[in-house]
Amino acid sequence: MTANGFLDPNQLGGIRQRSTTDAGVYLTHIIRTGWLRQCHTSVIAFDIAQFFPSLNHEFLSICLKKVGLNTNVVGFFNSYHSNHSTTYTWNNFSSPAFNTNISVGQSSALSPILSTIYLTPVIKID
Amino acid sequence: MDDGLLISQEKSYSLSSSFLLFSYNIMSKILIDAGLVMEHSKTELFHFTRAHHPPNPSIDLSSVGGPVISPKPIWQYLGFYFDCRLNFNYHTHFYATKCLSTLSTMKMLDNSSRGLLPIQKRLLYRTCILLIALYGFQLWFFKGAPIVKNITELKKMQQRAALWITGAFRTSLSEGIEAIAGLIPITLHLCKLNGRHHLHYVSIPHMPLTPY
Repeated sequence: MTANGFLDPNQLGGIRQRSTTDAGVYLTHIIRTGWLRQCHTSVIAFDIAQFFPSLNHEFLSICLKKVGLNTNVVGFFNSYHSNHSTTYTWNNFSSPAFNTNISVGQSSALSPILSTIYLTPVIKID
Repeated sequence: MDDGLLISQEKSYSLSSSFLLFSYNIMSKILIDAGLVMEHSKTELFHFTRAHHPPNPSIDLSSVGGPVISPKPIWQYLGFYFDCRLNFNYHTHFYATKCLSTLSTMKMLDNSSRGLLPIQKRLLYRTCILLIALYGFQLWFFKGAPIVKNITELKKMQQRAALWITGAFRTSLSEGIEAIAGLIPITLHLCKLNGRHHLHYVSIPHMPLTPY
C-alpha cells in the first residue's frame, strides 16, 4: 500500500510490517539525528476521540476515490456501508432501529485499512 | 491507530513550541473538517534534550479549547517509557519489575517436591517473561549506547528466574545457575536479537529513515 502511494510513509498504525517497536525506533532515530545537529526535539502526542465510530462514510468514499481505487471498488465500499442501522438495548428496553451514516465496524477485518486510508489526506497535508 | 504525533526540532524552545502550537491548531481544524475531534485532555507534551537542566516549557492550548500542557519527567508512548535523555533506565526498570512480580506469582505453581519440571519452568520463562522484559530493547541497545544500568536490571531479573528454575540457593553464582538452567546470558541474548532486528529493519520497504 505504501509502495503504491496509497498511504503516507509516516503512517505507522494499522499496516503490516509496522510494529510499535518500528515506530519507537523511528522516533528515537529522529531525536538522535536532531541532537547531532545541536537541536532538541519537542513532541505533542494527541488522541482522536471515538475514532472508529466517528468515520464519515461520504468522506471515506472521497478518500477511496482520491487514492485512485477503481470505481467498482469504491462502489463496493459505498454499498458495504449503506443501509446500516443500530439498535440500543438496555435490559428489557430496546430502541427502534435508526440509520447510521458514520462509523466502521470495530470487529470488521476491513476497518483498520479503511481507517488508515481515511487518515491519508490528513497526514499528507504539509 | 487513532494516535498522532507532531514533532518539531529546533535549537530554541520558544521556536519549537510555537511551531508545535501552530501545527496542533491546524491539525485540530483539519480533523474537525474530516468529522473527527481531538481529545485535548489526553494531549501530551515532551521535550527531548541532552541539556543537564532543561527549561521544559509548557504549551497553552486554550486557542483550541484545551488546557495548558506541561511535560512530565517520563512520557509513556506505545508502551515505551521515554525520558528526556533517551537512556531508558525507567523503561527497563519498569519492565524488569513487572517480570519479577510475574516470577514471584509463578512460584505458586509449584513447590520443592511437586509441580512444574525445571524444563517447563524454563519454557515458561522464555515464552512469557523474557519477551516482556526485552520489550523495546531496540531503542536503547545499540553500539556505543550507555547501557550499564539497563543491563544490570535485566541481569538481576534473569538471576531470579534462574534461581526459580533450578531451585538453587540464592547465594549461588549467577552465571553458573544460568548455564544449568539453560539460559543465554542476557547481553548475548540481546546481541543475538539485535542482529535479527537489523536484518528485519533492512527488509522493511519504504521506512522513512535517514542515516545519522
